[in-house]
Order: sequence, then structure tokens, then C-alpha cells
Amino acid sequence: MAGVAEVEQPLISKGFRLLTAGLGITLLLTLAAIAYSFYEDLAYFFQGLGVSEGLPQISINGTHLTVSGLTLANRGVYPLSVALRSDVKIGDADLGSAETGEIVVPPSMRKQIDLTLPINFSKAYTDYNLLKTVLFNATAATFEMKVDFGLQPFIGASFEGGFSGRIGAALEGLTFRLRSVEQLNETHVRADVEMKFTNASPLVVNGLLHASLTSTRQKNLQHTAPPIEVFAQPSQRYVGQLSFTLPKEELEGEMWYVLELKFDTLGHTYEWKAGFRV
Amino acid sequence: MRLEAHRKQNRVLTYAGRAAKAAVFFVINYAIFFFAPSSFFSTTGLLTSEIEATISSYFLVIASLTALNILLKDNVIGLASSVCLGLVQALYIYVITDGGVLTISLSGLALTLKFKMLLYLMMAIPAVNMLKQISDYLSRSSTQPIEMVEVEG
Repeated sequence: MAGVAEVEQPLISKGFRLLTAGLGITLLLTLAAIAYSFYEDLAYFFQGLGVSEGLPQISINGTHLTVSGLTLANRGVYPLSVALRSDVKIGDADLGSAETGEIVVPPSMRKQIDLTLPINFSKAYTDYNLLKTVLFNATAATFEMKVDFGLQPFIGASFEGGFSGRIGAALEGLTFRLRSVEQLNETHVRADVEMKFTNASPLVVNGLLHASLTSTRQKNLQHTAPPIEVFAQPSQRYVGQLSFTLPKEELEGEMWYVLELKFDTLGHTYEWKAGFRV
Repeated sequence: MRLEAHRKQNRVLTYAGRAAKAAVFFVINYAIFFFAPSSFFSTTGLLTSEIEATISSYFLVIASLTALNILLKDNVIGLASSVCLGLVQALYIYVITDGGVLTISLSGLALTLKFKMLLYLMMAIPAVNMLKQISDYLSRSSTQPIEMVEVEG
């Protein structure tokens, strides 16, 4: 019988083997715990986003955007750290950003998160094209949110996403109508043209409106009304009046009249035409 | 003569056992270094031809080094392959996880995962294994096994 006498493994080799096994077991257990926690937390997070009552409420007033009612529950086994950061943009103009800082939700606990963003509209006011868009058209305000999400201390995740919200025009539903005609003398009348709109934007509308009425009788003749000051807070309905002194015959007959308008606001002048029917 | 035949038989048996072990490790390596990452990247929609090529080439290198390490574990080629194996496995884990940062797109949301601590834990296992192989080789060379042969009377 022949054989090879096995040499006993040295202590250091046994130590390395033990260390490898320990690391392997630690890794497996950690992965299993993280997978469980992540699944539980993510399932809750997406379930929360999927139902209407779980959605955070977003409201805008003149100077602030508030995100409220966002509830996060940690159903995993590791502490959950969350940090919210958001940016608000209209077009390419960055109107504001804010962050909550790190919020730690211990296992089996829930926390409600509110975030308030101060909104600086000065960029929207100083950009001619942007303000023109905001004045006359509904625009999309982009709300971008970044959620830093961590299962301490092993894994960190961050979600980045955004959604757009409709912002109404500052001069939404702008209409003109002839309100009254008053005889001034034998040759002229005073025509009051009512102007109304609703400020559906979060911007304050403040400016001077110049209006002139194109003559229907004579080419290149404009009848000018004294300028009026227009001021409307967000969500405010504005009703103003333009008074024209016109020759009597200008308003004879049913037809469309064209108004040429110039709106001076924040150092810019916006020109456009509008019509009303008599 | 008989002694020579016995030695040959022993060697054949030894290499057959090692080949079987290499085959088992090939399957284990396939599961860990090919199937698991491929499935993960394909499920998350991150599987590109580049990642596929990286996974395949690293897997082939790891499988070859594992086979060499097992088959030639008594000599210096076995040691060299085990050291290379440890390094390649650690490097593979680092490369495939992009340094512990992965970005996944989920219906308009970008999800970025950062798992540096886990990455180091994963890389530590082949690194420690590599040290163990070196230590084993060094202690083997200083303490040679005694071959006992029974002599017939």
C-alpha cells in the first residue's frame, strides 16, 4: 500500500479560509436583507405613487411652490434615508430650487415630508420671449425632483424624475367688447370698450396698456384711448375700460373693429392686435 | 516497474478528480460571472453589446484561470493563475458594476444605485482567496509532503 501523508493545513490558511467563508456569508445575508428592504420600500413607494391619495399635493402661490402630503414609510430592516431636491422651470428659465436635507426614517416608521420652494419670477419677467409666452399662452412648468434614497450603510439610490404642470396664461380669456356709446356732441361719441381677463399664471400682471382703434372709414387713421394701468394678482379676474372718443359715423353698422394694443411692463413693450364686434 | 505504474495511476486519478472539480467550478463561475450579471443587465434594460462582450470575455478569462488553477495547483503556474484569478475577479466586479454606481431608467425616472460598500465586500472575497492561495503555496513549498511507499517482502 502506498500513499501520501497529508500535511496539515497551516493556521494562516485556515484563517484565510474562515475569512473567505465569513465574507461570503456576510455578503449573502446583506444582499438578502437589502433585496428584501428594497423590495418592500420600493413596492410601497410605487404603490403610493400609483394611487391618487398617495400623490403629493403641489400648490403654487405668488412666491412659493409647496409640495406636501408625501408620506414615506420604511418597511425594510435598514434605516431609510431620503433627501428631496426639486427645481422649477418655465421654459428654460430656472425659477427656483429647494432641498429637504437628509431625512432618516427608522425601520417600521413613517414620516411625512413637506418641501417649500421659493420661486423667483424675476427671470421670467426679464426674458422677453418667455414673458410674452406666459402673458398670452398657457405654458408648462417643469417640476424636477430628485430623491436620494439610501439603505444605510450599504446602498444608496437616487431617483430623478420630473413632471410638467400647466400654467395658465397671465392674460387668459382676454376679451374686448363695446360696453357703451355716449354722445359727446353732434360730431363725436365716447365709446367705452371693456377689457377683461383672468390672470391664470403665478405672475403678477402689472403694466400700462395703450390702445388705439383702427378707423373703418379712413385708411391709416387711429383713434387712441388714454392708457390704462393694468394690475392683476395671480388668479385675479381683471375688468378694465378703454375710452375712445370717436367720430359718430365710426361705430355705424355691425362689423369687426381692430384694436392695436401695446402693453408696457417691466421695461418691455408687447404689441398685438385684438378685435371686437359691434 | 509497479511503482512507476502506481504513480501513473495515481496521477491519472488526481487529474481526473481535478478535472471534475474544474467542471463543477466552471458551472459555478458560469452562474456567478455570466448568468447572474447577464440576467441582471437584461432585466434592467442595461444590457448593451459592450456589456455583453465584457461579461463574455471576463467570464472566459475567469473560467480558464480557474481551470488552470485547479489542474496545476501544485506548481508555479497554478499559483500564478490563482493570483491572476483573484485580480481578474476583483477587477471584473469593479468594471461590471461601474465602480459601484449603476443608473437604470424606469418609466421616465432615472434610478441611480450607489453601493460602494457592497462592492468592496464583493471584491474582498477574491482578494482574500488570492492571499490564501499564495499563503498555501508558500507553506507547501516549505513543508513538502512525505511520500510513503510500502515495500513488499
